[in-house]
Amino acid sequence: MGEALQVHGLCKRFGSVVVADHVSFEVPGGGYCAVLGPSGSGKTSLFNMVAGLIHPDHGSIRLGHREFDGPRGHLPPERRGIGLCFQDYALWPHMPVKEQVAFGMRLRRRPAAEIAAATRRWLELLRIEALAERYPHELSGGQKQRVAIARALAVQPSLLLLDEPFSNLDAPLREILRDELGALYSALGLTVLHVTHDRQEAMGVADRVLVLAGGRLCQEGPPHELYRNPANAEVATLLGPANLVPGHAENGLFGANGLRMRAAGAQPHGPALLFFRPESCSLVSGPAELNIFQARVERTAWHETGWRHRLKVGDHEVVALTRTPAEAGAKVWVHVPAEACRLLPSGGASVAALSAAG
Amino acid sequence: MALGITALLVLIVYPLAAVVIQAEFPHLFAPQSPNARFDPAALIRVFRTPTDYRMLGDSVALSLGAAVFASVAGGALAVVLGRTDLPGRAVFAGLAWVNLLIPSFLLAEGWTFLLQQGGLLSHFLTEPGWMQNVFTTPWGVGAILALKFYPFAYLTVSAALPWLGGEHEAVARTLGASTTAVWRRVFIPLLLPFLASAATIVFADVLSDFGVAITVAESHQFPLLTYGIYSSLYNQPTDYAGAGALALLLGVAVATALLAQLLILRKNRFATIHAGFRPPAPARLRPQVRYPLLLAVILFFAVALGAPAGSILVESFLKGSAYGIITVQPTLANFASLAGPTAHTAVLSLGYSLRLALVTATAALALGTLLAYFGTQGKGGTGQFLQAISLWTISVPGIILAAGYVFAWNQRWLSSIGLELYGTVFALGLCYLAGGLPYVLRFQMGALSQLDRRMMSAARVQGAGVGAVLTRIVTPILAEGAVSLWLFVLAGTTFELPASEFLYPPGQPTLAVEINHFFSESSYGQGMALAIATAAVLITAVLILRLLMRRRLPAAVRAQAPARTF
Amino acid sequence: MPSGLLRRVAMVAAGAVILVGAAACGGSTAAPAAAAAPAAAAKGQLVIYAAEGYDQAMADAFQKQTGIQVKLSDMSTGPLVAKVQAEGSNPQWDVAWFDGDGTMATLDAQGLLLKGWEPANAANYSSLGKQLVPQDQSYAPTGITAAAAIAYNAKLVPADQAPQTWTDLLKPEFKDAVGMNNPAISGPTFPVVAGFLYGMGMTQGEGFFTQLKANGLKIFATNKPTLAALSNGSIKVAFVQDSAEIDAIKSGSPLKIVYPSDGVTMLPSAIGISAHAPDLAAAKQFLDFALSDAGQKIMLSSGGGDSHFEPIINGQSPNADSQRPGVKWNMVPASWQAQHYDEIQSWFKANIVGG
Repeated sequence: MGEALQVHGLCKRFGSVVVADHVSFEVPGGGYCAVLGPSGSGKTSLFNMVAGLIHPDHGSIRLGHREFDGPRGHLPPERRGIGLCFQDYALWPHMPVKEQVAFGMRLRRRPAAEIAAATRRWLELLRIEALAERYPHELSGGQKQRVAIARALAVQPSLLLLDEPFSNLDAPLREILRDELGALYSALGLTVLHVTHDRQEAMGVADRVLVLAGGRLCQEGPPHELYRNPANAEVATLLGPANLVPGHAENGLFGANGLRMRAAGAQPHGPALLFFRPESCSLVSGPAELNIFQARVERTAWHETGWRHRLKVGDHEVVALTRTPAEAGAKVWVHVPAEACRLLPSGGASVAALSAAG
Repeated sequence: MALGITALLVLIVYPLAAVVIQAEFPHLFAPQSPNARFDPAALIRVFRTPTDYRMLGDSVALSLGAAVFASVAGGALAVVLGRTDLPGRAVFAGLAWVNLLIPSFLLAEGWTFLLQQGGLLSHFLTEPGWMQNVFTTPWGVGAILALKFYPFAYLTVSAALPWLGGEHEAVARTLGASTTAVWRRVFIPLLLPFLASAATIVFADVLSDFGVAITVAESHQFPLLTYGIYSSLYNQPTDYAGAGALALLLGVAVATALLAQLLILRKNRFATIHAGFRPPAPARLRPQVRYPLLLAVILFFAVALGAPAGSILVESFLKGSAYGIITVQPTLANFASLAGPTAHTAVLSLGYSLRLALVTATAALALGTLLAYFGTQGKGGTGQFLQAISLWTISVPGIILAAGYVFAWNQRWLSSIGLELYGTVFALGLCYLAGGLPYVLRFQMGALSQLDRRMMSAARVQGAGVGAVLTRIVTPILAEGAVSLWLFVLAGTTFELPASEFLYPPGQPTLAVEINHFFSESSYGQGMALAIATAAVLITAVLILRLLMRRRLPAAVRAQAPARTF
Repeated sequence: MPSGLLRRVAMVAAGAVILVGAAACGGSTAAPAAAAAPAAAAKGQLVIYAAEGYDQAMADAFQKQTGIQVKLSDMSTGPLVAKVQAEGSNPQWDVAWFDGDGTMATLDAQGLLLKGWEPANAANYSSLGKQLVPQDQSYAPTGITAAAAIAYNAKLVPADQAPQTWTDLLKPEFKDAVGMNNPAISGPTFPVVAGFLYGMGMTQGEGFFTQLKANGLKIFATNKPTLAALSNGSIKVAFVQDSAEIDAIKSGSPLKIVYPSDGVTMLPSAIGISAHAPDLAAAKQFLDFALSDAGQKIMLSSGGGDSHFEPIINGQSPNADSQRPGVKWNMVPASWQAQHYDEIQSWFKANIVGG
């Protein structure tokens, strides 16, 4: 059964670069927590610190009642009893699959018969029993992923660390593995810390998501909560396509060139960002009023489940995903219900860039 | 780590410093009234004497030239043998190895016997003069030295070649690059750091090589730095202060070379080795290229290996060849004499040296790999310190290190605490270890820096401590390179002369001391016979080990063994 | 710090491997020596540093005769002296033995040699031998060779045209045909150069070499290439240590030796005893042995080229190959050689070898 991971006040810097700035969070035993952040956000450093591969400058890391890092020093990685799976798997080129899986058990000096049986069990569980004698270079990407997971699980860790484990796989395989492995982890009751920059990877399996940016913890919570109620523009963009319109909020009303909107949640005063998801939009027949604005269709295309329109409102760009088609160049009226809108703190230039990316 | 650095300090830095410091404090070890009076006369003399810095200039120029030549020759050979379907590749690869295993002093003897007036060449050619003249110019000496050390470049580049992957070439081709353009713009820049690394070690090795330069260049039109060190030490009175000053100068030269290498490497930080890599297939040569190329490779080995080794071989079958009287009447007398009762000590010395070399080469490999592991794990500082120390040790003639061992370990205060190393097999063994360690360090640091670190991290998280990571992950992956390295150190140690002559325990001569004894008694044939018997033992060992490795290691691992970078 | 501890343990383990390995290696070879140790301990142990062809034979014979265990380090003179000087005031050697009394004088000047002890067998010295013993008795000459005698290729030079004096080497018929060794590399060649400069006077001696150079003198590294060039006919005349010339003739070289009428510089081989000899008694016993009839017989018969020396012990005669009819010996005081060493070497290097 997995144990609770507690990270408290973690700080780490490399020269002048701060990769962890008082990061604190907790993953309950058996919980699946995804750490989401753009590259350079400090998520890999967090991963390495929990694994014991680098040491934090300050703060503590505990698993259950054991202290990994803290006032009493650092526990070396080999004594943390965790499982780990790297992005490119880091399989050892000189070992066949069954030896990779048996490695940790051999180090623990289990009896040979027990090792053989356990190895077979893990290979079966991950459906790679047919690959037992193969070497890494004879495996496909998905097979390597399964071997790496089997290797990590074979030592029966109470915490599993995953570093973008699906990023080298193609999309269908990624989903199959994600579901299969997610089910396996919860069946095993493992505590999982999964580091990634890919929101789909994070939201598909995790019951909690932490968002890191610039070494700071921006927000944490269940994926749907973060998706709907991002704390700031970074979180909003990291979790999905987002419309972010700079403007001014006063007395529960948001105003920008061509927009007058009411939003749910916090009601700030002064400069603010209006946030809503493209799928919250619907095309209505005018005229413009509260929460309905007029826009010009710049481009339009079919996107998975609906029409994706790139719209121009005043001098802002907005993306809408609707069931209704529209002609490029046409004028349309867009409705975004107040409960789908949030007002976020204004973040200046970087926000504009993020907004365009969304 | 701290203990590893201590080992390095004790084995290398302290003894070397014991000599170098005499350039500043010449009376530190004086037999009568030693004192620590600062007197940098020797140092000042070096900088005031035009011949001394001309010596430095000539040495650096010669070493640079040889380094470039060796890198180009070795690199080209590696490409030809590694990327084409030239017939006999395995044989040529083996020959390059043999070239590496022949010690400098034997090679020098071989070239001398071939080229000297009254030598082999003049016996068979009526007008050998021009050839002798060519080989006694700086160019000739540089070429001979490059032909000794090219295997460093060959090994480095051939190990790097497999992962100059097909995908690089494919991408470049789609962008419209021809084969030559792919090489010029993609592969050669990718190989540059490896070539630079090989060139640096050749540079250091040529700087320290005395045997070839002094024996072949009889005319001494261009005195070299090692020659200056030699005459400081072997002329009377022995001038350790002068030798120390010159050794310091070597340190400066080497530091410059290392800096250059670092600069080249800084600009080129390339990918590491990953699991699951497939090397590209060799190129098919068209017949009009294939046969001229084959001929060129054969010619290359004929000069690089055939000429010196052949003349050693010939000399071992001749009687009384010492003074240029060659009776073409092969005799087995030299070999037979090794079995005779008078040569008892010679045969004993062979066994003694082989045993000693086995132990020290193994220890050097173990300690060097451990140090290299820590050197590549931490931040750059440790690694660069190790690199600098290694290169300096390689560039300083063995005799300096050996003399340093005497100063360092023959101290009354050491005897008073019961540490009597000098005069025992330990001092000799430790000096051998110190001599082999730099090569292991450089080679293993090169190899380790190419290993994907996450493979080691994965093992640690699985519960492996440093020891288990080294024995179960690093060692098997680096095994093939490490065995080659071990053989190289083993052969070098078996034939080691300058330190042996200085440090062998009285009454227990080593192999090289015995061979040298034969030479000094003008029994060249017997000396060569003993050398060849030893070489036969070593080459057999190489062949058997390589065969075993091929059996034991899966092909995949061999293909993926990371670049052996000296 | 557990990981630091692990590293340290690993380091210690590696160190232990080395030491145990070295011990095993040393142990296996030391086994026979250890067996002989009890007897040796009673009789003593003698450490000899020597650069003589007959040193092994002498060591064996001495050990057999006295029961004293002999440990011999045989090496070239250069490393030998460097080693002796590196050991300095904590010497591990009892006896040093090599060619060149000038070098012995240098060691003596540094206080490394035992002074003022006269071996009993010093009574056996011939009158020439007695002249070679230094005043402070810091070393003992054991035999002499000519530092250089003229050797010519008999196939190219008829006997009646062979050079008879040193100045004959300046004749036009020997232009570009005379060879010698480089004194900076070949140990026994320094006394040759010193001999000319001492005998003729500095200026004239230097003049002689300058003229030789003008006549196309060829400089080779050591005996081997010089004699090879001579045997092969690329030069007609050479002057190197006569024991090497004799050895070349024995191995079939078509050479003939001339001892010039103006004399040859003598090169004594000598034994010095360490001022702090670990086993002084054994060292003294060995020196007496070297000057004894039994010792001299071994030196004259079993040293390869080095056996071709001229004995300076009464009742001894050189071996059959090394007759020196009518030789005139010139002496260069060892102390003079030591004093002028640097000056002569650098002059020769700058003016004769280089440029």
